[in-house]
Amino acid sequence: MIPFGCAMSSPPRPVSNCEALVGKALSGELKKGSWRIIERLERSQDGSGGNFSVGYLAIHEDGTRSFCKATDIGLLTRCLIADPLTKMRQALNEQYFEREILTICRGNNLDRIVHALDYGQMELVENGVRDIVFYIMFELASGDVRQQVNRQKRLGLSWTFLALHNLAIAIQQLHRQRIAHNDVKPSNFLVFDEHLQKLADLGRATSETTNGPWDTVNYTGDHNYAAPEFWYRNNFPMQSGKIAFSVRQASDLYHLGSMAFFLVTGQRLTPLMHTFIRPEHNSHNWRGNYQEVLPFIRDSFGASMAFFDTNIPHRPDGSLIPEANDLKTAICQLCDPDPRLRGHPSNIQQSVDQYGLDRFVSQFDRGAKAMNVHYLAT
Amino acid sequence: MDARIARDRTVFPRWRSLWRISSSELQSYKKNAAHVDLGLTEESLRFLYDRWRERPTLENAAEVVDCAVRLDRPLLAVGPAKSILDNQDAMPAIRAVADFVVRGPINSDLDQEIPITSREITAFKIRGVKRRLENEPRNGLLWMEKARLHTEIGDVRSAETAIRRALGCSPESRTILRAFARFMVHLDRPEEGHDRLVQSSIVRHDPWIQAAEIALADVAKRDPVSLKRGANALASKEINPQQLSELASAIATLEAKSGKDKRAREYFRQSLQQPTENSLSQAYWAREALSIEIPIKTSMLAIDGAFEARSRYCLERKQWDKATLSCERWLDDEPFSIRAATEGSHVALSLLWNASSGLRFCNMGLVANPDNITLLNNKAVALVRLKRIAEAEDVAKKLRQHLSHSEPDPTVLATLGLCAFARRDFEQGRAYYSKSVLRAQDIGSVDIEFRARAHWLYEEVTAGNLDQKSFMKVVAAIDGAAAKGDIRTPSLDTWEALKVRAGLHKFMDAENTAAEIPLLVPTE
Repeated sequence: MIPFGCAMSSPPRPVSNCEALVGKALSGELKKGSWRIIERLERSQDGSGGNFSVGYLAIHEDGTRSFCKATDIGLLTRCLIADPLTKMRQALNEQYFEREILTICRGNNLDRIVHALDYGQMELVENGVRDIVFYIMFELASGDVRQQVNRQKRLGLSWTFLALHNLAIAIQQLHRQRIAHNDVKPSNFLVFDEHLQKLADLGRATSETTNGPWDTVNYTGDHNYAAPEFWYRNNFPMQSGKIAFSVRQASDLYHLGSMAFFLVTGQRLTPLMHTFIRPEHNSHNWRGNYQEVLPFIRDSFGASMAFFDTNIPHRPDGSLIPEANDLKTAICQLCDPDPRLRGHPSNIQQSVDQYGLDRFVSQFDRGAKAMNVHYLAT
Repeated sequence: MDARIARDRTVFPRWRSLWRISSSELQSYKKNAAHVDLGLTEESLRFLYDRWRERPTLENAAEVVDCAVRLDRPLLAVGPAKSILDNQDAMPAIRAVADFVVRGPINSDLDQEIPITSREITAFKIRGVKRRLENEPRNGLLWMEKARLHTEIGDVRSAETAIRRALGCSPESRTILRAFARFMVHLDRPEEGHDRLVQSSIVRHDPWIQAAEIALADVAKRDPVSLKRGANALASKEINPQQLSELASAIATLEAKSGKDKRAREYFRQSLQQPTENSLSQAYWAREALSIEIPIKTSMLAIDGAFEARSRYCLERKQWDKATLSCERWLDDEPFSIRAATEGSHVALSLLWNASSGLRFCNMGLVANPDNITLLNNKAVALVRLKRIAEAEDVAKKLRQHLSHSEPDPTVLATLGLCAFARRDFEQGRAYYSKSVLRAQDIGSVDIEFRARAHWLYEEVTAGNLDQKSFMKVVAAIDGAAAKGDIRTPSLDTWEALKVRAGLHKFMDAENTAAEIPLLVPTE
């Protein structure tokens, strides 16, 4: 196998209209006045692992800065090889669905979700090619939490609790609107300042009440972060022609726990678990169902959790500090490989909303406060 | 004496640690399954790789490595992985994944690795497992491993608690159910193991569980519930032959024991299409013990971990030293296996005539099976051969206690005779040997009777109680008994070894007729 970069580097691709927006002025449907596109931001993948949109820094006439996510039919068709017309229609549906969901979030004051400041579409002619560019302007953050991989740049446990508190609230806010995010990952968890982080990118969301393009797709988010039940063939329960909302909730809980693991260790949980799985149980090789492989997945999850301890402050006697121990327990509950056992044990025992996040929100809040007190005291 | 309790063999599941379980046993038996769309393609990896080339930051490198691991294409991320390993700022968990990409997955190679087993190391491993279990109380495989480690050191009570916890965590796991079945055989409670297998829902379709169920039913003297389903599965050819190997072997054994040799032969052939090491060992055993003609390709001995089969192959070719080595590896592989320890000690003591090696086998086997009479018996023999008479007497005491509250075992009686000869109490020695011969006659075992006489003769010669003429006379009589054909090959091999060694001794000049020693000479 030839590694990328040796003889397999990608051939140059034709520039799509949405990739040439720098300097252009765009007008939206929500805000009066126009947005000027200042510069293109670093490329990032979308939820499917593809590259169907381009990010820009945009400034409104009134001085509001925003992150502009733009796409066009040319870019979509280039990425979609089989049956381009159907796929294109699907992609446009996704655009409209994301706008709809963002409108719900705005209307219900979901303050830990990155809101759309504006959106719109515009016909552009570039190099003789006519195309319609779709764009959404989001609140602009100062960065995401991917820097946690770097020992020098990473933030401490106190901040981790605070960030998790904000993230848990964000997911809880969505779940209360019967929306599942499905794509919670470090690049979608945006930092506005030290005390405020918000969840972005509802492009892969599903709603129990609103029909959307992902309703029947098993897993819609980035597969590098997928909960283990999505790695294998699995028949999920359906409700009103959609994958049951509880399946989506369970997936979001896994993502929350996985994010906690990432913030502490700097490593994504899903790929780490894969390193402990024997090749026979790899999703490429396994022919059985998920229940059959579950004990092995649980074992790999346990082995992965050992890395948690190596990145956490310990007491002089070698044990974890209580807050860290609580966090570890929370991760184990949120990421339990068996979705039937995922969630807070009290919720499961009392047969109340199994995937409810109230207890975790409180726990992260307590953790943040305790760590702050500890920090101030020392 | 050189007892071999392993007369009867069935395809009991092997019980190894998770990383040593054979690949075929871990796979699903299903042949085809719907493709799982991972949603990740090499295109995604290429995108991340290009981005890393543009901006080779730690964050970007980590994303390439993670994607490559998920795609099962680690080689495509070697560059980013190396950059992570070179970066001192990378967090330990990221380094671990990068290391995995660079080094590749750990592949268990049973032939290459020799597990070091000692009480201290096992105790250390148990402590490690216990620590993990504090955080992972639902990890059935970890409970199973704890049970296995406790079994290795003979702590069966803790082992039973742990294996039941394992079952509680994953009641329908093939791996855990098979381990439980094997453990119950170890405890000599195959009925309980069988009950549990029958209760499971996967016994209806999983050939590995069906194989175990049939094997345990055989030992528990019950009717197997999977016979018909198993035979149907074997006939349908819908499942990969390797997945069916142990099932075919289990049914073949059952057919052979009920005298249906032709069908047994067919099933054994099917079991050898793509054999596991367990079914291969079973075929070797059946060929010798049940006298069924089974063509076995020597190349099959290359199967990973086929230590038992290799030892049987070497025994067939009278390569005693190689057989002992294979038994050692077999015992390392399954340290609690009584059969590995008894087989090894038998070969070492009776055929290779290496008492130190025989003693080592016994001591290793006795760690997990401290009260096993066969191992105690063989240990006494080894100690006598090493002239450690006092220690042999201590073991003989245990054997005598055993005799006092159970049916007298002719082999144990013969060993007590050996011990008496060692302390030069010939009268008592002869009394024990006589009892052994009579007891063997009572239970109708020509083979044990034969071996008791062979050993007795050897002791008389080495004690200087026989002249050469008498010796030759007795040898001729025992040879005559051997020629009748009811004697098993290992016993004949033992006799040959004893004969040669006895013949090397100095004989006394004065005539001492063998006729004066009743029962030593077999009657016509």
